[in-house]
Amino acid sequence: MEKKRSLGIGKFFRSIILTVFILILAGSFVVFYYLREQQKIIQNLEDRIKNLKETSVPLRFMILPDNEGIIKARFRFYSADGKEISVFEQAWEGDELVIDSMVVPVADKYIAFPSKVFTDAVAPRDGMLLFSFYDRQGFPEIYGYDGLDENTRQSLKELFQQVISIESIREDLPFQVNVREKELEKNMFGNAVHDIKRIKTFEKGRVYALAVHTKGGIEIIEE
Amino acid sequence: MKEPQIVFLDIIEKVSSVLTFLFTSPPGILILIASVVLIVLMWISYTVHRASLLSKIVGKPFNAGSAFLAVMEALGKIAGKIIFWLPALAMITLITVSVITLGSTISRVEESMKAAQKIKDLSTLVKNLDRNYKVADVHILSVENGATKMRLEFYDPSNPGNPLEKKELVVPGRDIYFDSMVLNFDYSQISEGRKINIAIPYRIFSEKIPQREGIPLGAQDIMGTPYIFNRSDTDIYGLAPDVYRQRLAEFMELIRDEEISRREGIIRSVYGSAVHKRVNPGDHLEIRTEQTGGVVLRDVKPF
Repeated sequence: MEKKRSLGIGKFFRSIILTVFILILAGSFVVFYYLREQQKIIQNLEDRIKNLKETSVPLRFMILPDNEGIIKARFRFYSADGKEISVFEQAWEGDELVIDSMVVPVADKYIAFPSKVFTDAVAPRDGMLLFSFYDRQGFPEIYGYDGLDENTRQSLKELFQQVISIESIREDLPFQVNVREKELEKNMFGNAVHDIKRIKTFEKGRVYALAVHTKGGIEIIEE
Repeated sequence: MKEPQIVFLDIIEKVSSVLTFLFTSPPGILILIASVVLIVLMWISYTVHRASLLSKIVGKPFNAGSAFLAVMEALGKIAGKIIFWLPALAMITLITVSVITLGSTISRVEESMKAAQKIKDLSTLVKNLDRNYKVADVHILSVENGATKMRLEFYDPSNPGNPLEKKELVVPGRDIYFDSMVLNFDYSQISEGRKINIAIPYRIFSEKIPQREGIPLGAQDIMGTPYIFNRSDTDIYGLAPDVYRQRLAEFMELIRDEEISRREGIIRSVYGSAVHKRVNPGDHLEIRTEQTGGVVLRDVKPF
C-alpha cells in the first residue's frame, strides 16, 4: 500500500516536471519568435533611416578669385561611385551663384539632374546648360557605376532624354512632348540652390557639394 | 535592494548560464567528461583495492586476471546503477534542460524589452526624419500674355491648419521660381525632435526675370533695418505677421552663430533654394521643407 502510494507521488512529480518542461519550452519558443520579429523590425527601421539619410553628390564646385561683381567657379561632376566625369570653369556677372536641377520621382525616391548654372544677375533662361557635362551617349553618367545592370541603365537613359526634352521646351526650342513626357513634367520640379549675399556667400577656395536627398530635397554642403 | 522575484530570476539566470557553460561550451564539456572519468576511475580503483584486500584475507594471490575481473565488476555495477537510476537521471536531465531554457528565456525577455525600447526610439527617429512641413500653398489663377497670376498662402509649421497670410501677385513668365532661405539642422537634432528645418520664402522670380529683380516676400530684419534688397514696406508683397518675424529672428540668430553651431554639430547647411515649375492655370502646388534636408515642390492632387 505504502509502495503504491510512493509510486503514485513519483508519477505525480514526474508529470509536474514534464508539464513545466513543456510550458518552459513553449514559452521559450514564443519569446524566441517574438524577439526574432522584433529584430526584423529593428533592421527595417535601421534600413529606413539609412535610406532617409542617403544622398548622392553629382557635382562639387569651388568659387575662384575674381573681380567684384563677377563670380568665377570650377565645377566637377562625379559618377555614382565617385569617379570624376568632367570639369569646367566659367565666370558670370552677379553676386549669387545658382545651380539648378530637375528633380524627378523614380519609384519611391527622387533623383536629380543638374540642369543649368546662372547667377542673381542672369535670368534662368539665359543660364548655362549642364547636361552635356555628364551626358555619355545619352546616359546620365552621374548615375553610372561599375556593375549597373543594363535595364536600369536603359531606364535612366530614357528618363534623362525625357528630362532634356522637357527642359528644351522650357527653352522654347522646337521639340514635341509626348504623353509620357507630359506626365513626367507634371511630377517633376526644378530646384535652384544658391548662396544668399545678405546672409552667407560661398567662400572663395572652399569646396561645396550639391547633395541630392532621396526625398527630393537638394542641399549645398560645405566640405 | 532588489525585489525577491528579481533575485530569484537572477539566480535562475546564473544557474542557467553555469549549466549552459557546462553542457554546451567545449571547456564545460571537457570538465564534465573529466569529472565522469574521475568518478569511474575512483570507483574502479576502490573496487580493485577492495578485491586485493579480500584476496589477502583469504590468502589467494591477486594477479592481473583478478584485477581485470575487479575492473569488469566495477564497470558492471556502474552500468547497473545507471540503468536503475535511468528514470531519475531522465528527470534530472529534464530539470537541467528546463533551467537552461528558463534562464535563456529570461535573458531573451530582457533582450526583448530592450528591443521594444529600441523599436520605439527608432520609430521616433524615422517619424521625425520622414516629416515634412508645409511652407506655402500656390494656386495658379491664370497664365495670360506671358504672365502668371497666382495666389500664395503662407504657413507656419507650428500651426499648419491655417495660412498666416494670403497674397495674390502677377509675375512675368511661366516657369515660376519660389525662392526660400533654408537652414538644415544636423540629423541628430532633427531625428531627436529638438529642431525642425527652416525655410522662409523671401522672393519670387521666373525664367524671364533674374533673381535680383524678383519680387521680395519678406519684410525687414529683427533689427528693424530693411532686410531684403533694401525695399520699403510698400514695395513688399506678403509676409509681415509676428510669427513670420519670430521665425526670421530664430533664423538670423542661428545664422549669426553659424560657425559655433556648425562646430557643435547643430547646423548642417544654410543656403537659398528656389523650387520651380512650369505652371498651368488651375495648378495647385505646395512648398514643403523636408526634414532630411531641402525644400520640395509638390503637385496637390484634388481629392
